[in-house]
Amino acid sequence: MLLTHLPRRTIFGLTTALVALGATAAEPETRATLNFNGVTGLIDMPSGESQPDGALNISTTHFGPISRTTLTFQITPRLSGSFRYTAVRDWRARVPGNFDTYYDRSFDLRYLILKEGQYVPAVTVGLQDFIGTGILSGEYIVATKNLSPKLKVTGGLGWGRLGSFGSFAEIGTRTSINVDQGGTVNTAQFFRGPVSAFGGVEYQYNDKLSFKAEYSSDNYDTEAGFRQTFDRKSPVNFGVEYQPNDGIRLGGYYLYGSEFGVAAHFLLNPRQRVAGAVTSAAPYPIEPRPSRSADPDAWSPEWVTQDGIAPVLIKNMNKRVVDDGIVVEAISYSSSTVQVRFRNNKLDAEAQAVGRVARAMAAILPASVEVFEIVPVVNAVPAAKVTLRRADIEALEFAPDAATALRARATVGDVGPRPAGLSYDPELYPVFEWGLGPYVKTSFFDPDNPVRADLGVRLSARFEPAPGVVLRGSAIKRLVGNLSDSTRPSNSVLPRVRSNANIYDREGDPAIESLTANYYTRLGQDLYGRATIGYLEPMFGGVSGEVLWKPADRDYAIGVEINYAKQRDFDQLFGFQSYGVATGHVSGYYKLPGNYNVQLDVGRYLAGDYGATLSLDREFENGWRVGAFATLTDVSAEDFGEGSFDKGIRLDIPVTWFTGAPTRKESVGVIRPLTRDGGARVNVDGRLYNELRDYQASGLDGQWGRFWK
Amino acid sequence: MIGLKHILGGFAAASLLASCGSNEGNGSEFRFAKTAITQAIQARRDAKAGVQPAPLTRESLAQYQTPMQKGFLPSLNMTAYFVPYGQNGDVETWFSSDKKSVSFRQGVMVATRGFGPDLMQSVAPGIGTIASGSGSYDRVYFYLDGADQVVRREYRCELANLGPETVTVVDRQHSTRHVTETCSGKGPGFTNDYWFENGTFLRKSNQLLVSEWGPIQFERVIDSR
Repeated sequence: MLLTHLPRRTIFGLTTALVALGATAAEPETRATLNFNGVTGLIDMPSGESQPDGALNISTTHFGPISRTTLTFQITPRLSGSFRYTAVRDWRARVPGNFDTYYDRSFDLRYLILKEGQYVPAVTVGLQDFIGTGILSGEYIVATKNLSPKLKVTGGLGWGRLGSFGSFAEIGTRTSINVDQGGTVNTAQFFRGPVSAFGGVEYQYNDKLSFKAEYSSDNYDTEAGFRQTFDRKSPVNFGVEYQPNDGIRLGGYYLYGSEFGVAAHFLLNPRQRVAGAVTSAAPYPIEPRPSRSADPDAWSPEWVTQDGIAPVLIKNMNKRVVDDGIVVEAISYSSSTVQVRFRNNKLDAEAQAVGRVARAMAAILPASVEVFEIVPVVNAVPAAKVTLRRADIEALEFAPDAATALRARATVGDVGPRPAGLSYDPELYPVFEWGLGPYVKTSFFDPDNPVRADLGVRLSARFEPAPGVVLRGSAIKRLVGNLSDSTRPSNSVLPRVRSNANIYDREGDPAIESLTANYYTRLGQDLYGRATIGYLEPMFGGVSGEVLWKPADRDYAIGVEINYAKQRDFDQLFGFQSYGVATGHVSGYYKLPGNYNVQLDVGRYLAGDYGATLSLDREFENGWRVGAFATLTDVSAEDFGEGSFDKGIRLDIPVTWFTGAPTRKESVGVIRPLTRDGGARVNVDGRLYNELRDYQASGLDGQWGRFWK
Repeated sequence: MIGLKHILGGFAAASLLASCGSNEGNGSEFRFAKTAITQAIQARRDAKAGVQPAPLTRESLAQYQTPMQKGFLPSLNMTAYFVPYGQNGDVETWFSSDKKSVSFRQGVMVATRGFGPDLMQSVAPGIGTIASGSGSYDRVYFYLDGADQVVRREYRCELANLGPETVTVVDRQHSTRHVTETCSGKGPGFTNDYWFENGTFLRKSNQLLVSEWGPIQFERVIDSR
């Protein structure tokens, strides 16, 4: 996993397809709380409720020898998914085994099939550890009903480990788990074998304090039975939980008649910025034109004949937007229409950048200009054209819900052919930018040391000699850390395109992360191109070409990318190893209603394997993204190794969400339970889809309210 | 007790603080974070020491050649001075030196910018209606939520005339008429206060920014030059 500040939108990924099920939330009488598995529930048992739509929690829970850390996301109002890392200590304290501490990763899915009503309970069906090695695997159907404003009861039926204690029936046969490589969906086990009842109560004493008691149907056969890591004396658990604010919930427990436990749940809501609202400097108010009768000279169209007017207008507009991190690059003009091309280096909301440019145009341009064509450019490539009537901007500035009113009169579409008289700011190019800052690089799930991290400094630079030509690179120097301690050798039978990561960590200090020359261009209507050559990423260098068809006012796109990638030396300086591969993909993108972005990539991967990657991201208008991806290729599960196929989840959090100060920066985290060599893609910075779509209709519309901010 | 988002936020702020570079984004975050932290530390020190900001005097105001309003946001203990900047139709926008703006339609606040949870637009009564001191009407406030979606808050408001009051604004006493506007809606309600001088001239007012933050208290400290 990488958790670091990367340039906006640089990480790709994929997922299992999930159907978006919209529904309005019924008001629960008490809040839905979380259990030791980090999912909605009692203490060790699940409950029938769900978390609020979009809620994300990170839970860390501990009792006896067992610790669990879980990330859970409420994907839709009814569907949630979890990723969990479990550690069981004293694994061979009494019974011989391979390791002191047993570590396991697991995925859960839960679906709320019935919402709580006046007489009906909330009912949820869940799959626990449905795709892993299966030691935690269990299925359940569970109901929860509020009996009074403070008291709710839960009852359910469990299979698998949730049917391991006090079973009263058996449904079919639960086949033994294939623990070879894990990673396969254990469908043959679902809702099979012994079934047990579980249940409990939760009493919410007040807003902050609640008490829980439950009857657990988990016998801990492996942990307590075979391995004797703790003594399970009783099925009854007790707990008290305290929630001082919306962001954290803490609990203390007595479990299984023998162990004390603690839990901490960190609760995040992507829709609620930590710092409250975004605080940017107030914009210049719209300066309306004088009436034609009051000042006829101001309306004269003769200004277009003045020599050298373009640089003057560019300069004056830039004075108005410089504090917003906006740069007006070029304009074209007639007496009635002006097109302004600008780049946005700072504002997190693209619509706000468009709004600030509109205000600058209203202030600077002669009165005869009635049509504003505002063209955001990314790497000098025009992403879209927002066309506004100046009279609308003047009239609507203080109108009720001015955003909706203005959007109805604005058009967002393809930029069209390059205007004949487009003139660039003569002082703009070459552009040089640099940055020096800290970086954090992490590695998770190595059984020798589940959490490793490096902290160091990163120097990055970017040089643009001419529009569309970008030279950029970054280098890092480690200051402290233990990533280099990892000595576990790769056991991969495939070309080791990713599994030697620890050697790269060890030998790359200092390391050149990337150093590339790029050319970006608009090839035609709705058609964009990119060419990249150089050290593409820490492990590969080479050449990369991409063509993307993305209509500016549509929610879909198709792209083709072809690369030749050669493996870099472990020291991540200038040399290469012998392995090289032609790799590439055809990609389809579609933004589904409800802000779900789905992407399918089909092609050849770094190890020479052929296959496809499916990814699904839940996106929020403020830049948050939570997604999952999975890749299946012609590499067999056996050749792939542990995990059977490549999969993971990713989080994309705008830094503005934390600080409240506008910035284009994001914190990007990709969590792969296992990084192996199958289904691996080369990481190329600046892929077109995510660079462009933020400035197109699908990106602007969701946050159009920021136009007036 | 602090939550994960505070820890993460601290981490983000710390890493920004330590960053530098040519990029506009870097610099401004740096300044923002630094300013915010410095202000927070200073505010805490001042609170402990019982320090009050230097009082405004007529002498200090004499140097300014423009109409001016003092704006005070009690919930943040924040003061800013606003001067007229622009006019669009019947709405006048006033700016402060720290780049906040408040837009008034004849003294009735209709929009703000630069505060954070800004009043984006609103449907508000005219000054004449409020000055009449009686009657009721609907008010609508438009905000952006944490995901930048437009939020519409509707209130039913009622006016009341509390009669003559003498108010003091920077050492000077003014005979005013106090009118209150009490508004209720789905969420918490609020009350705006208006102190009118010579008919409809607003000497002083408390006008809601957003219910979570309460009102901004305005005082007209310089009428005109």
